[in-house]
Amino acid sequence: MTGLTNIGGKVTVIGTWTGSEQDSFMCMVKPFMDATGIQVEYTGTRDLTNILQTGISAGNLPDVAGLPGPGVMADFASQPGGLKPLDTVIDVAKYKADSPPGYVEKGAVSGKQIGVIIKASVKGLIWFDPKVYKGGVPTSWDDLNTKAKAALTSLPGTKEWCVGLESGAASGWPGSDWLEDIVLRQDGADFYNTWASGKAKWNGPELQAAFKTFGSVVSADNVYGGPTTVNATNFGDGGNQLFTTPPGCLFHHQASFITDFFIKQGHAQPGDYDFFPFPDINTQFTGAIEGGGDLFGMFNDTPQAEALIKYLITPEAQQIWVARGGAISGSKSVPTSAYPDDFSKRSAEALNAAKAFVFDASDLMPSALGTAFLKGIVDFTQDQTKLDSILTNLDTVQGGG
Amino acid sequence: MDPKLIQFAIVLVFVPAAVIGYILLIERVLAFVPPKRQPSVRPWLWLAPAFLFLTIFLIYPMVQTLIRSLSDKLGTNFVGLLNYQYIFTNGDSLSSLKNSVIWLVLLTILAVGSGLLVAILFDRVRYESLAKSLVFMPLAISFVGAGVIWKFMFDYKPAGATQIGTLNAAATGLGFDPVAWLQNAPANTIALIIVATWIWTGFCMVILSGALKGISTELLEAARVDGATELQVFRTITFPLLLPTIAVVSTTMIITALKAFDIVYVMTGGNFDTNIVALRMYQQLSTGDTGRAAALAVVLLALTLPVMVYNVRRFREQEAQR
Amino acid sequence: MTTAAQTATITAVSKRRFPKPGKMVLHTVIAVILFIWLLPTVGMLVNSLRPAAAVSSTGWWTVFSNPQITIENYQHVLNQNGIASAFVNSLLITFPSVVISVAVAAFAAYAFAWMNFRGREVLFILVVALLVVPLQSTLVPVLRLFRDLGVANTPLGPFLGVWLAHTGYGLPFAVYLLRNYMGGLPKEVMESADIDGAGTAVKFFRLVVPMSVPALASLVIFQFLFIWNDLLVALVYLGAGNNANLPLTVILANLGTSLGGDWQYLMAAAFISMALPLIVFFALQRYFVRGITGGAVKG
Repeated sequence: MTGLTNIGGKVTVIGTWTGSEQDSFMCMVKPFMDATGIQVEYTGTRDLTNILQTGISAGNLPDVAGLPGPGVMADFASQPGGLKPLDTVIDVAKYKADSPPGYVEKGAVSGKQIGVIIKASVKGLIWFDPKVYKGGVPTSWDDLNTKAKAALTSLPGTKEWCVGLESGAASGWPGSDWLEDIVLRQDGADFYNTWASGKAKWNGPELQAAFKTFGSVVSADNVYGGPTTVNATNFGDGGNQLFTTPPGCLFHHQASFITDFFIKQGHAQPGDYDFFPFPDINTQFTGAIEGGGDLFGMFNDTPQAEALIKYLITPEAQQIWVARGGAISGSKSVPTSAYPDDFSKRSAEALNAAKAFVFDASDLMPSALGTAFLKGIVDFTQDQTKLDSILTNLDTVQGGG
Repeated sequence: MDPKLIQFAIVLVFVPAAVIGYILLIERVLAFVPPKRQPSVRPWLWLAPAFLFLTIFLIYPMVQTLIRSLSDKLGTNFVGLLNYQYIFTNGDSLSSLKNSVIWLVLLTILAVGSGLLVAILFDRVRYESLAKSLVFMPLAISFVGAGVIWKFMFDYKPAGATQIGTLNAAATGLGFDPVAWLQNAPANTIALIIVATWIWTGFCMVILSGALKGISTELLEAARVDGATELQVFRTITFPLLLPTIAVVSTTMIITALKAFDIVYVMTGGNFDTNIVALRMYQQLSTGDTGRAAALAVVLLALTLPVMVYNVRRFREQEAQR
Repeated sequence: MTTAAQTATITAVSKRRFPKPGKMVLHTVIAVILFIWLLPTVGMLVNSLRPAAAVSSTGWWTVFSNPQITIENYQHVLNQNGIASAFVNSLLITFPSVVISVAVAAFAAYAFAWMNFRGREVLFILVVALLVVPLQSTLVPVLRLFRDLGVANTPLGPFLGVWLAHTGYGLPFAVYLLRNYMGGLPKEVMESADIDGAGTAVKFFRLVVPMSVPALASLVIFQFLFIWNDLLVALVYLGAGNNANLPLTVILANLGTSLGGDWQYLMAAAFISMALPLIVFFALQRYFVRGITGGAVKG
């Protein structure tokens, strides 16, 4: 492999990836270890934020670490003994040229490159069973609802949507993705970024309208099982009702990873499901795409750690995980032929063609606000009449109260 | 052979030798102290290792926490009692305080009560060991495992759909509507306390059963020969003799109820008005809000003060009696 | 101390206490309790033997009408990389931590129960009060101290920090439990040993320890359990990238992907990791036999 020299030693890495994700990451670094003689010691844990927060305060850190999101990354970069800048480690200009607009910037904090995105996912996909819904790709949010109404006339008992918000301590996150997609299509990428950086008023017209749109989705009339089921259903089981006979719902909104759950837990076969992108609400904001990404940062600037960071963003390395499935690369040099299936290929094309790339807002927010946002989603779903007090409370948290 | 196993074998011998060696060593040293001074020196040497550990791992961090509770989010500025003021004025904090009090009362009553019941019942049958290990089992299951178990107990599907949760299958089987056990306050807090009771009853049982075995059989037999019914024997002999142990178990359960947050964290994440003080503290620690988290830790400590006072009184009585 | 034969007859006598119909009621009540207690666990045991798709679409009880059994979940867990060495690591972490904490607590409890010194009550309140200190709030100060002292570089290696930490965190409960039990030992026995001129160490090892066996046994069970099932202390004190030394809990917690799901593996793993604590529990059962303390609790 080009550009790798044998320097030996080891680099310690900690991240949230476990199970098959951990296997994929180890495959990704295998050529690196072979070529450089550097041992990559990876530990996966779901307690990542706590371990890193503790580690920074105590000065006891891995060399390289996965980061839960840009918001937490900024927190960690600002603390003494926190993340090191990567501007001299990687060629930032070259990295930007190879990525969609706004993609690399998600790893920057006040002009310094702190994190790099190892793998991405495209959010805002709407899944359906092509044997049930045959209305084609909707041109707008209103068109989607019209087409759904038409399809539902022949399907009594079926609802338009399936939503599952339960995810243990992180319950509500699928709903935050919903809201982010609505805000992005309704108010555009600029407002979206203002909002995600904590500078928009929650109890203002934009967020009120977005919450109301989400509210109609999870209302008893439009969602399978009603709001109680929405809050009680694990996100992994959220789309299972697409495939029952008769179907519980027409559509399910989720990122690209969900196909794994369709097959493992929903009794679906490949071919039973297909997606279209989240339609425009306000046509002047067409072409923006929301994604998430797994960021990596560096705590100790050892030569081994720097070599690893440099290696991980190369198209060669990116292609390895992409080919194993479950990841989209932001690198334009990774050929779409590298993707193992049609869905990930289409997701990657959408990502690379995007006019603007916005990042999952709940991950961008400072963690206290992000957590309060998720709780707000759950509370709103349970009782929509509380909207005003939920938004006021989010404004309080945003203001540091 | 795996070098780890050799390491293990060494540890197996070395660690017990070291701790026993400590006592033999200090007693050897004490022999050089004038006999009159020995009683005042000895306790400190016996206590020294424990206090060394406690100081490093608990006392020193607690002092730091106390200081932290008077500072702002990043621990840089002194803010006085602002963090405490927040706890007692913020709605979410107050609701978690309220829930912690419910936990404290109900978990203590339920776990100690059922622990006592099973300890006494199992004591009377030949398959005691087996029965005890079955009640003990939930404690041996990791919290991850317990979370998964109860996820499948409380699972909710809408009416008409196939229920995969044990409780809702029973409910719909009996003709009722399925219940969203974890969503409707205040019943959801009770449901979570039942999970905790399921886990901690085995703990109470083991300690109470140990104490039960310590009660002189002759005494019980004598009472029975005198014609006392089982209930009378329990009320007049067994229960009073168990009382110190019941106090110990209750104290431990009160503290467990205040401290343990894993169940709530895994099952509801503190949503639907189920949050408790310990979980709120954990959430604030992980969002970097150390000042408020520290203040909550201090509040937890303050909540246990009455229990501490009671314990000291009890130990004075114990010593006066013997 | 009672002999084994005497113990046996006494046990037999007391177990024959209930008249016949009463005995039936007793067995029934116990059966009902055990049924309630076991139901959740049995549900998980059955689910751990079913394929994922079945687990998330039908209840575990349907296995009786439609048996779909697989051991694939258990195979998956047992085939994890490094699971054997993680098991040894768990032993290496658990065993010394239990020994040190129980021994250190026993010394302190003995001093609290049977020695007179100034400040005894205040110190004891302090110990009990420390029970409530949340583990999470102690990590940062202690880790800083460890780093400054260079604990990880000692010859006993990375495990030392974990042993010390588990001992420290377990002590308040251990001292509290043992002090309560030892305080209840009969004064006459202790005084007669004094008259015999036995030294303090002899009195402790020959008299106090054997008489406290039930309390020590329960303490060993609990310490073993808490340390065996611990994830956080091991991760934090061993430090990141110390993969060769991580315990079983870390591997088992990482079975699914970070997205969740994979309940079936977590369930199989829960049963696998539960086995050893249950064996310890069974093995220590014989110390919970009536008469072993010779009526130690004053009657």
